[in-house]
Formats: sequence, C-alpha cells, structure tokens
Amino acid sequence: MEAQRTIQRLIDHITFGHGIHLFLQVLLLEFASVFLTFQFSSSLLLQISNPNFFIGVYAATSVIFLGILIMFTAKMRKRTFSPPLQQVRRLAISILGYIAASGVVITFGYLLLILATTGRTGIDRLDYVFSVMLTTLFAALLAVGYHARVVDKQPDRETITGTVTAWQDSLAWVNEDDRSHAKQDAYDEFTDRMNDLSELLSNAKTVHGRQLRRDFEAWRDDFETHSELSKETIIKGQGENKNERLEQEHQKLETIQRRLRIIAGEQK
Amino acid sequence: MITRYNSPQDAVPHEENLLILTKSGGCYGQDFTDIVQEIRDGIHGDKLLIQEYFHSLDNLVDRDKLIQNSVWIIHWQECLENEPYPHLKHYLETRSYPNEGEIILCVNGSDKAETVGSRYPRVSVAPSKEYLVAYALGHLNTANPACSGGTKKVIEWNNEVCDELGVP
Repeated sequence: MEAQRTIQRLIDHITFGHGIHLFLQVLLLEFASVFLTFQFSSSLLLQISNPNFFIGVYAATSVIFLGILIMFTAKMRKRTFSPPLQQVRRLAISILGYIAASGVVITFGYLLLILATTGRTGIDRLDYVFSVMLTTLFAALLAVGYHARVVDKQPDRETITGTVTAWQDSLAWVNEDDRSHAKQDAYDEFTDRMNDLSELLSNAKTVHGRQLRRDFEAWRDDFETHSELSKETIIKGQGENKNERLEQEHQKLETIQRRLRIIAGEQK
Repeated sequence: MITRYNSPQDAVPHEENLLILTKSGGCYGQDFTDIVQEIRDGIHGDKLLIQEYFHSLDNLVDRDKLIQNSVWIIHWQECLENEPYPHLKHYLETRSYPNEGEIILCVNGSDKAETVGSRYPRVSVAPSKEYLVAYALGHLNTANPACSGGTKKVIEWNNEVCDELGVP
C-alpha cells in the first residue's frame, strides 16, 4: 500500500493527479510517429548541406521547447493542492520526468534505429542535436496536454489563493469582543469561508492534495462538535497549562494552515 | 461564539467547558487533566462532552470568557489564599457567575477546607480529589441531556450566558 502511494506520488510529478492515460497515449503516439517516419523515409540520417547552421537552429529550437516545457509545468503545479509540488526541486523532477519519458521514445524509436541501420559511423552531431530537439518537443507536448486538463478541471490560481487567504483571514473571528455583533458576523463569515475551502479542496487530485482534503475534513468534523469556547481555544492555542485534546486539534490546524500557505504561495 | 439554544435538539450533544484556574496545572498531587479525565469517565450517557479550559490568570478581567464555563475549578492556595487576583475574589464575593454554574474550590487539607468553606459559603470546597470529582459530577450529571430534566438545565444555563453576553 505504501509502495503504491510512493509510486503514485512520483507519478503526480508528471500527471499532476490527472491520470496516467494521457501520458501513455502521448508516448504511444510519439512512438508511432517516429516509427512511421522510419517506415516511409529512405534514410533517417539528416542530409543537410550546412550542418553547423542547422545545429544552431535545432539547439535554439530546443531551448524554446524547453522554455515552453518549464512554463507550462510551473503553471500546472501552482494549480494543484500538493504542497511538495510547489517546491522548485519538485519542478525540476517534473521537467526531468517529461524529458526522460520523451528521451526514451527518441532513444529507442530514433537513435537506436539509426544505429541499427547505419552503424555508429553513420550518426553525427547533427543527429544528436536533432534528437535533443525532438525530445524537448515531445516533452513540451506532454506538458501542454496535461496543462490543458489542469486548466479544464482545476480552479484557477486566483481562486485558490483567494479562497485560502479569505479562510485564513476569517479565523480572526476569535479576536472579536464577545459582546459585539461583529463577532457573530465574523463567525458567520468564518463558516462560509470554511464551506468555500471545503469545496475548493474537493478539487484535489494529487496524493498530497487528497491527503490535505482528508485532514481538513477530519479536523473540521471534530472542530464542529465543540463548544464555541473550545473552538476559540483550538484556533488561538493555549498557554502553559494545556488541554491536550484541544492542543492536538490546534496542532492539526497549524499543519493544515502551513500546507495551505505553501499552496497559496505565502510560505516556502 | 456561543449560540442560543431554541429547542431541546440544539442542546444534544452539548459540550461543557470546565474552567480551571491554576498556576501549577495540578492539585492533590495530580494533574488537573487527569482529574478531568476521571470526571469525564463518570458522566452518564454520551450526550454531554466536557473539555477543561485553562484560562490565563493574567486575564481574569475577561469575565465574558469565564462565564462561558458552567463549572469553575479554582486552586484556592494558588489563586485566592493571599488574594493575588482581586478580580477573582470579586467575582466570588458578588456571585458574578451564571446561576446555573458550579464553583469548586480545591483546597489541600481538611482543616483549611473548613476555614475556606466558612469564608465562601455559597461555593463547594473540595478537600480532596474525590470530593472535587464528586462535586463536578453532581453538577454535570444533573445538567446533562442524558438525564431527565437535564436538557432543560443545559438550555437554561446556555441561554443565561447568552443573555449576559447579549447574544440575540
């Protein structure tokens, strides 16, 4: 079970919680396109009169595709509810994942075919640079495909940050004077923002995102059974002497808040 | 914030807070948390939940928070003996707590308890942990939605606090 979750967490770096099917579909199409090229082309070797110029062109194009790959991957992770995926290190893993997947297609579908048909002497620097360009192109295609799914099915960045910030701000109801109407209004606002956050988190699809949703809902279920004074204690925390039960709920709240702050980009 | 109970259904389940005023966190050689657990274990049924609430002794002026607890457990030696907290002394002397509430003073030693009892005749004075648990349960098993008439008492206490705080 744990191994399965670990694998799923790794896959989330590529799929961002939107299933492996698109990934496999695109990879198979890439294989098909490379094999079809091989089938209908007399030679896979590039025959160009000015190879140095084209090495430059392919390299520059690779950089553009890499830029597209980075841009779309970086945008996607910002719309997930996974705190780890917000880390730059994880972005690098996602990008390397896309490149590795496409690299496999190019290596087995293109370079090895050339080597098999022409031998090591037939392949030169131009073919390698062309392979790099194809790899970044396919990687960018994968990222754009997943980005389209994320855009379709996930709330936008503004909604995520706005909902999280509004909920966090609404926790300040505990600071209002007990006798004031403002406290009742602030409490009602808090209840509404809690519903908004619950609805937002229902969109979580990654392993960590779904874990956050479960933790939030479990915390909320416990929280709502308490008296108003206990609710305030859970939100504010306690001094030296502590009710351990409420302290545990306070700490759960803090971990949820910390993860939400990361998702909203307020904390690293 | 505390909300008014308009029907018996609103009061089930009901979570009650036990105010504990202490510096050390314990009495009779035991932590208050353990004593509250003993109280919790003695509550009839599952319609009344209790939570201990340790209010800061530096903020006893905040009476609005204190009155939201139906049981006040006060460590007499730490909080009243040398009158270090005039607000607290004033609350007890003027009965500035909900009528439906229960005030229990924890006093180490039977002789001392008698003296304190004569000084504060309207509150319960517990010379031992057993007395404290018994006094607390006496209140909590009366104002308990699981008992006959208990729901009415819970509603009365809750709405009395709402009246005090001006909750509509």
